[in-house]
Amino acid sequence: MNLETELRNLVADQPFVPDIEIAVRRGRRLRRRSTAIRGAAVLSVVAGVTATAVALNQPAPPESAQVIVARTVAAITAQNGAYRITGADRQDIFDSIHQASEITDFSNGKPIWTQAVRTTGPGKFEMRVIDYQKRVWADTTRAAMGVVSGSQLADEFRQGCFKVVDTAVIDGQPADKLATCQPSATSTWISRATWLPISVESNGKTVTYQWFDSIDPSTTWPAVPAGFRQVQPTPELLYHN
Amino acid sequence: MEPDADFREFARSRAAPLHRSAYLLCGDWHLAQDLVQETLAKAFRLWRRVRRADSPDAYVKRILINEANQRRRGRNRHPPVAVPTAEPFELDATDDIVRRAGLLQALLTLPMRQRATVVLRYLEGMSERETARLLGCSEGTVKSQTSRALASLRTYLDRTESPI
Repeated sequence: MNLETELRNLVADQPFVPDIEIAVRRGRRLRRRSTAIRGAAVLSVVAGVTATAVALNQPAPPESAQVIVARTVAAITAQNGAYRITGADRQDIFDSIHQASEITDFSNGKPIWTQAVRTTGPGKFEMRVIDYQKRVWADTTRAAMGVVSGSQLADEFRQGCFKVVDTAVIDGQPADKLATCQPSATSTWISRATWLPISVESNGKTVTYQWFDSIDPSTTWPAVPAGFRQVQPTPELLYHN
Repeated sequence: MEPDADFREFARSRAAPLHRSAYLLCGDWHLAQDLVQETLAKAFRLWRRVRRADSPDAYVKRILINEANQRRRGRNRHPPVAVPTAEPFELDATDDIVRRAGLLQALLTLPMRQRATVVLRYLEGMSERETARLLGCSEGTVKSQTSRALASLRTYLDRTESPI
């Protein structure tokens, strides 16, 4: 029996039907995220002119965007702990140390859906999802799955083209505002003390980054509210994005 | 007309072959499903570019290989997924299941580039030129990677008396 035949036999009889809706939703989310990281030539030109004026009143001139991005990438990579992204309609917590994540969607300030993932052993992950609107929850286990790490954020910075458009002092930390080279209403404040992102402004919304060495894993494992019903872990429930 | 109809049609038609390739790249059917879902999501994100490519199929396979490679590197940094051991084990060559498990085990011990080369050349039936274009390397590199991969697999296949 030759290698071609052996390989084909190895993968025979494994039906797979993709969940195209989930792929499309995730793809749209990636597009938005990509736009958020890259965009803003038109705005950056305007902001750049403004920044030139504003920078005159700042304690120190900004570093070049290239230097800031290099330091930011290095800082994110070295930090390799946990970070929380908080916005008006979403909170994401990623903990590289404990291989755990929690994503919560909000509506009018109230949580509507939470998905938490944590490792339970080599290659084993468990996932808990709570739908607060339908008052249901589900637990499931997976043989393997990727928990988003800071390195992906670092990759996005590494791949983006940025310009420095502003400098200011935020919460006592000197910070530089980067806008990406392509048209987008998006910009990122980077702390010049830690070289980590402080906040991202995109399409009128602002999300805030908080960085930790690690997060208590118990805080990223949501408790099921009383009266909620346990249901089967359907893809619709698990990947509500 | 259904929105994004061309992408949906592409995804429906290509998901199963991608799933098979993904399995040989990662060795786990569940992870292969995740890989394909993520690959399709990334293909959707880049759909205009994918659709304009000379070979949308090759473009998406490239995404899949990159994704598999990225996850493998991620697993190496953090808690390891049951990594197949290279320890030799006794095989009953008459048992197809045991033989195929051994082949998969041998395949998964190959470096990702060699593994991708084997999958593209021997599962997907791509030529050396097509494989080189997809992997972004020269045909000579494909030849050498294939040769090294086959040498490693031959050790296993010889034990089962199955010539390549």
